[in-house]
Amino acid sequence: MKVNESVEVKLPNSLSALEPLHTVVGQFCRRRAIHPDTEFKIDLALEEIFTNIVRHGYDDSHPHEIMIRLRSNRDRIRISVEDDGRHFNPLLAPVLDVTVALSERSVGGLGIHLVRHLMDQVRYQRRTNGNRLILIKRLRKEEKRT
Amino acid sequence: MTVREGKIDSFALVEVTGRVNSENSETLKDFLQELGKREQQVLIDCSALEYISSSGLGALLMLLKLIQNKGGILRLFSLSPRIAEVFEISGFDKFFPIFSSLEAARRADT
Repeated sequence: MKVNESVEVKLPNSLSALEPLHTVVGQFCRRRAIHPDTEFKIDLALEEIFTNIVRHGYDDSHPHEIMIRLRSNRDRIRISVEDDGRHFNPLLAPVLDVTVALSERSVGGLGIHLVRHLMDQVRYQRRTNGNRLILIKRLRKEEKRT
Repeated sequence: MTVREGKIDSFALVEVTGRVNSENSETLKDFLQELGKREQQVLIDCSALEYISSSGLGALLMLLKLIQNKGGILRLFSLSPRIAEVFEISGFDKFFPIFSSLEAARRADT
C-alpha cells in the first residue's frame, strides 16, 4: 500500500464521463487501501460537483475539459476539480433546508448539500479562466481498509 | 442500473439495482413516472442498489409525490447502510417509509 498517492485526469464536460470518473476513484482508493465507505462518499461528492459543472458551468456548447486531481497522505485525501466555465461558487448557494414539508421539497441544492456533509472541508477558488473546488476528506483509523 | 417490476399481494414490486447516477437517472425517472400514474401501492427493493446520487433521489421524490397525491402507498426496503446514510443526510428518511425487509414492508400497518 502506498501512503502518498496522486492521480490526475482530464475528462470531457459530459455526463458520459461519470463512469470513467468512478473507475478512476475506485482504482485510486484501492491502491491507497481506502475503506469502501469512504470511497463511496468521495465517488458521490465528485459526481455531484462534476454534474453541476456539466449542467450549469458553460455558456457555450463547445467541448471543455474538467481536470480532477486526487492526492492522499496518511491522514487525508485532497481532491481538486478545475473547470474553465463561468465563475460560480457553489458554496454561496442557499443552504438547503431539509426540514421542510414534502410538498415544498425539491432536489435543487441537494447535490451541494450532500457534498458539504460527505466531505470534511470544501473550499472554492476563483481562477482567471474558471473555478477550482477543493474537497478534503480526512481518513479516520476506523475508516481505513484492513 | 437495472429496474425490474413484479407484483406481490396488491403491491407493484420494483427492484432497482446497481448504480443510479445523473447519466442514467432520467431512465429511472421515466420508468417511475409511468409507474406512479398507474399504480396505487408500490414497494421498492433497494437490496441491490449500490449507489444513488441526488438525481436518482429526485426520481424517487417525484414518485413519492405522485403516489401520495392520490393517497397511495410507497415503501422502500433493504437499503444498505451507505444508501441509508444518503437518505438521512438528504432528509429523505423523514418522507419515505423505510423497512428492513420485504416482509416488514408488505406487512406494515398503513
